[in-house]
Amino acid sequence: MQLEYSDPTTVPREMYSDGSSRTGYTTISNQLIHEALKQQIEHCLAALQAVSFHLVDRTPGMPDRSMLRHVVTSNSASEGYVQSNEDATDLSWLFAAYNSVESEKPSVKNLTNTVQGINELIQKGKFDLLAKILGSAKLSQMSNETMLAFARSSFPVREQIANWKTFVAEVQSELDRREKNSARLLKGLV
Amino acid sequence: MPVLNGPGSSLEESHYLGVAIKNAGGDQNHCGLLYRLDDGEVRMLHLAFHFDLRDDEWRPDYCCAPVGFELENQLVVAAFANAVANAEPNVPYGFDANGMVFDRSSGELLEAPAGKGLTCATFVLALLRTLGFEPLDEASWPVRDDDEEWQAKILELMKANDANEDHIEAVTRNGQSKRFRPEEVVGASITDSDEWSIEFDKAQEIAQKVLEDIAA
Repeated sequence: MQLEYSDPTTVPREMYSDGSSRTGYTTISNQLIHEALKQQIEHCLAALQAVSFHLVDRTPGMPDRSMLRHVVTSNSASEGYVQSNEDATDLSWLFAAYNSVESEKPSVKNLTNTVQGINELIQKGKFDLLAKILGSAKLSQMSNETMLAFARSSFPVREQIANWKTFVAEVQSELDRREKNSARLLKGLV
Repeated sequence: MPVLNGPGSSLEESHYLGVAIKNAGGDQNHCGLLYRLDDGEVRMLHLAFHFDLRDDEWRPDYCCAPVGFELENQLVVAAFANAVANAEPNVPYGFDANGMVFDRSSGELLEAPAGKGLTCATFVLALLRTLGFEPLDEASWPVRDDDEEWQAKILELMKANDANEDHIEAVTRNGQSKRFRPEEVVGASITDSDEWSIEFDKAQEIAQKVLEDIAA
């Protein structure tokens, strides 16, 4: 079945409240769409689980970007330490980046958000978090441009990111798999 | 054969990133980076002068050409240029770009060491270098005799435009620096990236073609 929505944030809330067809879809369509979106959300959450974030004010079933706030815990989460909201890091850009489609060229706006998101992590010195983000990326599902944006935006601080070289090597493998000229695309990085 | 699109032309629709150059009077040329937004608008990000980084609508009195790498990287660098433009960093003008980096900031430059700064040409180089690209083999560049005269002229302009005296003094104290001219940076940038980093002698050949196109 051709899914109508690939972006959970565009789904009207009414579709989730009781599964009814208020938008005119059949009950079966609603269920399939709901399941697909649920899988997508679970994929995003699974990819970010190493980050140990806590979602505040999250509407069940629909992670509206404007409502997502993350309180990023330190690696000593087991000790019960949680950073204050003043130090909250907005990772909403990461949903769009992780969900960039291999076959679709991303917009300048989305890539700008990715670059700005990475730059903010760099500015705040959150290199461990950036490493986890790179390590959690499912490259096989990402666009070429998004993979390159991750690699090039983090290039200036590569020495502070433990898995940067591994990440770039994986990007290279993925580009090779797609029969792209990885040496040219990764010029200056490898 | 021209290497640049003449005045009145813009970046080809299929391209996201380019460089632009024009004669700014006498033997002074000025260059900047072109990038395309989602609605098709082309903008020019350029360091006009001391603490004067501008993000302008494309002006057809410049010559331009796309940067010599593939569209995927063009899109990424265009996004980075957009991010820098949004951040509106304070960029000092100066001849020694050592230490001038965009690292660790949301498009903000690290506070520059005293006397350090960028020119319009080294701004383009710094932005590309931040993302791993090195169009020029900067180590092959000599300090040229006529660069000293140019730098003295620019220092006078900075004084006339009320640039901070400490900065001018620090720039002067640094002494003569290598100068990367706009036509050299533009010429290298539009050359296929397989040939990067381009050495000084080769860069002069390409720069000469750029100058011919500007004058035409």
